Amino acid sequence: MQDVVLALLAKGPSYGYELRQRLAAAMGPLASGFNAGQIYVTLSRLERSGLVESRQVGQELRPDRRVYELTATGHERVTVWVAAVEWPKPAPAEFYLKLIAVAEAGLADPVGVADAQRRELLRRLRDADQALLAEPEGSSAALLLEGVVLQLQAGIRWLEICAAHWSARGQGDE
Amino acid sequence: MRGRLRLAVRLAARDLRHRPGTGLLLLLAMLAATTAMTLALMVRGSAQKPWDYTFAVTNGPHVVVTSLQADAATDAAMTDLMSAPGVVAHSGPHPLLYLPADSLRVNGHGSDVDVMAREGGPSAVDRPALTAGGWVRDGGVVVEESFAVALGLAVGDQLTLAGQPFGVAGIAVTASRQPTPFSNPGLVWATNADVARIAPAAESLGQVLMLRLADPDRAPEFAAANTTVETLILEDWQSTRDEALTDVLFALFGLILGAAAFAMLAAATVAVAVAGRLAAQGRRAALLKAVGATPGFVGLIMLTEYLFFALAAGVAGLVAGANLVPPLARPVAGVLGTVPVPGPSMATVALVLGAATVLMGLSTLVPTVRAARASTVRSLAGPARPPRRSRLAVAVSARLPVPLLLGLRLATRRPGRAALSAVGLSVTVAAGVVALWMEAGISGDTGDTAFIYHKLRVVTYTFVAALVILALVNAVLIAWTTALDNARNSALARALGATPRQVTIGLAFASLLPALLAVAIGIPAGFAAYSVAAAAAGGAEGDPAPAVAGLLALPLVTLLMVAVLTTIPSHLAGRRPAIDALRAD
Amino acid sequence: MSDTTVVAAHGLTKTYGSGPGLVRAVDGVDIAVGSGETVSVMGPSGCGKSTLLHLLSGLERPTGGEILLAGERVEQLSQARWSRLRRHTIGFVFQAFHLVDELTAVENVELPALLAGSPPKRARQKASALLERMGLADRAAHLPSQLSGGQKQRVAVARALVNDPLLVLADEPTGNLDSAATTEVLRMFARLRAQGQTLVMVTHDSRVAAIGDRLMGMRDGAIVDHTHLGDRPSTVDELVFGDLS
Repeated sequence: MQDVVLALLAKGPSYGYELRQRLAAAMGPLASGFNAGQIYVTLSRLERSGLVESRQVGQELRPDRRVYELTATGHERVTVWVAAVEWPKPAPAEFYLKLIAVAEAGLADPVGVADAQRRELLRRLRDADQALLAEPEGSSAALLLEGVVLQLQAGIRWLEICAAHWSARGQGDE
Repeated sequence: MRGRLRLAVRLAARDLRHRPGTGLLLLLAMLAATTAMTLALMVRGSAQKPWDYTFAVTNGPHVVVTSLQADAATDAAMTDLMSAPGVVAHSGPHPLLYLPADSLRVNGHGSDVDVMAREGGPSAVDRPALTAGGWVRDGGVVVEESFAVALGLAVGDQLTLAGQPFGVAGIAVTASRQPTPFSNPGLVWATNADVARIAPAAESLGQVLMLRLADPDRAPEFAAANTTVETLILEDWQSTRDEALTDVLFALFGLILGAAAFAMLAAATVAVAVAGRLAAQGRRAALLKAVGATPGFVGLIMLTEYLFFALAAGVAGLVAGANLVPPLARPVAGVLGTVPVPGPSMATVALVLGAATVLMGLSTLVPTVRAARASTVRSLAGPARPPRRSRLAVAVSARLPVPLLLGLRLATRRPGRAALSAVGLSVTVAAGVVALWMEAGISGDTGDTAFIYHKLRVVTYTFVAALVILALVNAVLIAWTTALDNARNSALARALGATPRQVTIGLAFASLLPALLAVAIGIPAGFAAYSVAAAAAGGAEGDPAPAVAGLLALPLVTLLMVAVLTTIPSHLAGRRPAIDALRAD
Repeated sequence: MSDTTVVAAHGLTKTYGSGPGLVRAVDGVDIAVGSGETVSVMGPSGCGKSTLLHLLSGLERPTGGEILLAGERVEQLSQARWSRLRRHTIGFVFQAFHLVDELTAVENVELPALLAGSPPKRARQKASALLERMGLADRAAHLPSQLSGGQKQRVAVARALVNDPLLVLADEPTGNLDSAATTEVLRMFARLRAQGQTLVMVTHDSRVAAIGDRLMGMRDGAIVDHTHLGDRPSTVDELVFGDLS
């Protein structure tokens, strides 16, 4: 969220309410679920970090009437962010640890845990797919949902492999 | 280059071993054509040899002059001929009597007969060669060999001539006239005294003069030029020889017709068989090209395979034909010597092998070139050529009951192949009609001349048998290519709700359509072909029509064979789960 | 879910070969599908799910067990009776489409109707209407070679529906399709479900499997688990931004 706001300010200074409007317009139909009030919290955090500065205009004291602007450091940060190829780390590590722990502590059968997780992902996949099919083709919502669906599919596949792996391990141990 | 050639041969050999069934059918079709061709080329030459030998040994006459009556003008003309320009030697004139029917009686049978007076030592022209006994003496006659065989006479037998008893002193062979079946009446030699004794009973009294010419090849011209008097008949040796070979020539006529028919049949059959093989081979060609073979190399492999077929069929045909020559070339009695052990001449070998190669080449050229040049990717992906879509067939078949719906749609998928199968079958049917008609013509002739057609009959029967086999080959090919092409569609139809029986009937219908067409074209074509051939040979007005039963049986049997050969495998396939054929995709 | 069972199988087995070469393609499978239900069977390739579908539709004969179709025992029927039964009971969708190359789309769709004895006009009308429902009315006169993968599969599904079958069986319906075509086909199956069609689908794609009300996992010829997938309608934001803060 912080980087998104910084990026919006890269073009030039902007009023608080303007920023909110611009963000809502860009998000389109997804904006409804998005808490726009958050933006002001983000802006104050950014000010505290020295990436953004603001000034008061006229007599207004409200945050949405202030003008916000990037600092030099802020600009740098934006440039770095645009060029970055960060990607959220996928789930495997966390879930893998869960299976190890469950197996070590004898709390449950890891195969059963993997299967249960897989079933949950299947249900989520179904929901996501149904929502996707309800959306008009090519809409931004459809694009997002497709991403969700693909990730869930990948997760389901990996969980099948986990179950097979732990099942074989279990048999080997006997 | 040599390494590539060896590779091509190896690949071709491997493929032949892999698919022997169609190869065998191909070979059978070609074999009929090459055998008939060999026979046609060899039979006349072989039949002629004994006659030529006899002619040489007996110092045969180039021209035989026969007078029908003994008057001054005739005798004078005959004397003139003895010294005509071009004559290098002569024998006679010898007295010749014609005794009418029943004048010669032996073993309860009677016959008419020519009696010639020949005494003394060997003459300059025409020295009859004794094959048994001795020459004429008073009370002992010599009978010409073919006449003796016809009458069942041997040396020492007794016979009656004009009521007077004679003994058979000997049996001899001459080249001065055709052997007895072709020559009527038969010939007997006797002493001058014996001839004088029976002269009163003669119907006609004449003379025979034998001539040898400086230029034997021009004997026909000599005979024509010197026919000045009505009462003198001049016969040249070529005509005599040809008449002696009449039965062989008839057989030759049949052989030539047959060879032509078999060649056409072979071409059509080969084309269908090749198309079927290529459908299976097309993928292999694409695979080869994908791993680096040029289209030229792929074509080379295929041509090697088909060259093998051509050569194998050619050689087999030469061997089979050469071995079949003696029975066909065997002359009726009356010539010396046996038919020589046949060895085809270099010319014959070259002709037969060449014809086989050309036949094979023409039939396989188009599909082979197409397969060699086809796009590699497309060939790997699917069949060489997609089936044809016939909007008319689809629209019409929608209104038909299910089996006919399936049949009509299946039949129109590969019109080219269906047409080829139909052509092959129709040639078979046409040839069958010609054979039946010839058989009717031959059977109509009974009595003395029936033997002339004996060899022709043998040839005709053999061809009918070969045609039946080839019709079977064709029917198998039609059924096989139909089933092969339609395995998937049949299975799909069953998966979509058609019962196995409906599919089987549909397939039979699809095969029968080209067969019906073949029969519809073949029968009139056969009539036309026979009429043309008979007209060329001199008219066929007197020939009886072929047996109606035979004519009806021919198409019925053909259609029945096609139907049975298609239904059985389809019925068997219908018992198996539909998914197998679909899985093959 | 309704109380009429459209198709059910008990102890269904299919083996190939014998002795050491014995392969158990389907090993004692129990399955029951109610009217209007969508059941998915999921598993890796070679697990026997295609064979299971072939057995349920009579395209292959089981080695053991029983099959009930609309209450009737069918596992021992002859090929001919199966063909007749398939006309109005089962619509089969193949992974490889298996459309007839030389027939147009509408001619392909009307074929089962013609084979079942429908008058040609009625068959053509039905086929055209189905293609329209699929959104393929403008492609009705096209040959399969002129259609994309997704369009071909939709034509194949239309063909499966032309005789109003009790049951539609789909074998890897998206197996030969890319993701855009897959979405097309999934959209179509979702609509079929909504219209109350009984569906059994076999797939290794989890997205396709997730369409089902029930999901059966298959491995080495046997059913190894059973998941009920209920409907939990969620908004886009819940699904997408669930963890975003």
